Amino acid sequence: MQVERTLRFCYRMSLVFSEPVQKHQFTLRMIPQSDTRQQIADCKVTLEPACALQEGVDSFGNQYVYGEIAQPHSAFCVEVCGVARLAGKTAVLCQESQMPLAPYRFASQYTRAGDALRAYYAQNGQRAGEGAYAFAARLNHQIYQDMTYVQGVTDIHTTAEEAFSSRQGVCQDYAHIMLALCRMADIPSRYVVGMMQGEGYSHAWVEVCADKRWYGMDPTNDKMADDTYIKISHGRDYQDCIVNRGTFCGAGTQTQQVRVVVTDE
Amino acid sequence: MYEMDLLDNTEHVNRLLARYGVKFGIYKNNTFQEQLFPFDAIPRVIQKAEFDYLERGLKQRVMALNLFLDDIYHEKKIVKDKVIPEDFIFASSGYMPECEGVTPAKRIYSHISGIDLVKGKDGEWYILEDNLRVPSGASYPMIARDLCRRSSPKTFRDNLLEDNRNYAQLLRKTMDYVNVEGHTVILTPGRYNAAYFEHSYFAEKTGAHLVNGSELLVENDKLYYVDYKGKKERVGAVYRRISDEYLDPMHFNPESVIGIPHIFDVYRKGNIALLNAIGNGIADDKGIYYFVPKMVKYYLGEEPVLSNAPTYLPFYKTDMAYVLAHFDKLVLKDVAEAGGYGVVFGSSMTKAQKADFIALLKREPRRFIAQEVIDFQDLEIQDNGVVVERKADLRAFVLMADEPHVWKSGLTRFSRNPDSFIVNSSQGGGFKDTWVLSR
Repeated sequence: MQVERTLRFCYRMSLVFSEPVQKHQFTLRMIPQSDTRQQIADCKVTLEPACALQEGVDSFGNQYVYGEIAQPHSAFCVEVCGVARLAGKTAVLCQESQMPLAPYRFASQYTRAGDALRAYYAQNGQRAGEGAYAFAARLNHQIYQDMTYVQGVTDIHTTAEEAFSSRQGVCQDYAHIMLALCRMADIPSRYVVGMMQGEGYSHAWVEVCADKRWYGMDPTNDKMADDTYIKISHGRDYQDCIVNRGTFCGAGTQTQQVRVVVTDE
Repeated sequence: MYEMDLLDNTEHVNRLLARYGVKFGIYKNNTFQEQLFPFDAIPRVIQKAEFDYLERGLKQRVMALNLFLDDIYHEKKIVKDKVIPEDFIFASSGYMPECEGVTPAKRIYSHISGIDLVKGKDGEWYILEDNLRVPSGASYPMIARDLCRRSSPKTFRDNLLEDNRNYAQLLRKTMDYVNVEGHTVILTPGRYNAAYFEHSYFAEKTGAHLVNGSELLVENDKLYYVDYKGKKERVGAVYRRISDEYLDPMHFNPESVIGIPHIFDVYRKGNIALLNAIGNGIADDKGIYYFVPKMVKYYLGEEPVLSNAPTYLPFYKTDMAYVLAHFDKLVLKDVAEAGGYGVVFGSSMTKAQKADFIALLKREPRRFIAQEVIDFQDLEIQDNGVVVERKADLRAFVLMADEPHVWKSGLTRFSRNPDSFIVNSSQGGGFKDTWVLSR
């Protein structure tokens, strides 16, 4: 692997509860993994309050940690910090694990097309002779042009079709729209959650399988995922990559804060 | 064949069934309604030779379905060999990519299978559907048999029939066979579930603990049962009567409050057995049904003993042409629906409905299967003291332990409406005991 850039990252997520909660069960998908594009080193996970952590790897190939904080607590904070060595231009092989490509080729819950996306696809669909990469790259730019980045109009439940109908959304929506269109063209594509230098928050983009390799594309920023992107997880859509899943006992409300810092080493 | 007191006591038996809580709950318009599951005392009788034949066919079918599930979540040979088109697997809502590479204890997926059959007027049995997720219903003929034996002892002394009350032993054996280490529990969503009677009845008869999600807890990748004193004991097998989506809020539906957080992690790591396995929905998908006879040949190298109802996949061009040409004599089923919903008869549609449906069919051919309407045999039932004939099916139960066992009985359901072919309990039908003669 040709290392082009070395980045230091820190992903900090905190939950503050208005009243103490207990029996807090959680699953965290926020640990970047090494592949042929990125090498992760010195990765440290810190939890507050501290508790025993179990590790698992899901069927998509994502590493996750999980555990339970039984005693009452009013805040929960996780920090994942480490170093990523990136070869931005190296693409990962499409068929690298147990997971077949097929699930990435069919519409999933968030990426099912409705009339709006079907009409858009009729205009902007794959042209005769256009390869998967060229098509996806064109879409990447087209979606950036046709959508307006607005926070607060969509939420975590918004589907590609809904977001596209309003032509507004955030990175999650841009990624879902891109996936819906690639899958209409029968091109395997997957949702990616990760960190990006200069973003400050977690980020979502897509990977498109073209010529047997996954290419990272970021329609939100009209860019290819280069050596400033650190990938954390991938799946069919948002649902497979939820960073923090949890249940707890308690009557209060929770406020979540995320802070991602990525700096050149 | 039977004494008159068997029939005369019908009302009494029904009253007792109601008292034991043999009810069927259904959600209609967002409210939970409990209905009695009416019992008809005239048994369905199956001769020994005929049941032997069914038994051979059912064992074979369930073996093939188990091998199919193992293949789909691992090597996918049947797809690579193009026996089943990729679309039918991976675009189905029954396929769960979360289960890729997960291997259940002893590689058994469908421990308890409920296979629905009908007997045609031609005397042939046809498979209508396979239920490999959480099939219910075995408890009804069990308790009905128990009550009928009391109401008409002579009937059961004079007829040589298989005792169906051994279901509990079969179930116990099936659960113990895959138990990893520790207790065996039956996990119920609670008393508002349609089949709650069955959950409690099985627990009582098998000696397994009846638990709800809040009594189970995961610690260090193991599952524990916490008793009322707070004592923790290891659990090695869970006969769960909760569907996949609700089983673990950490991996599936995050809103689920009846599941157990991290139970999927424990399962993935091989520290518990789940009956049935997660992800079985792909095998009882209506689109996959078409391919089951092909699976029997593919995995076992045998000719299927039991036939499917003649089925067409509009996905294939020749089948689509056939469906369009014979639309009026076919029944069409939406592969995404269950419980008698999403079933339409070509003959009962108006011209406009038909045109709309055909447009939908052409737009989403994979979503439907079409079947010949089987003219199935009527069974006699008592309707206010008069014997009338009604359509009925049979749910046979196959339990998989060291080998498949077919329970020598089954749930016979009938339609109460004389014109209806739909016998599903969620559509308000009744049930009968199923007698298998022992010689």
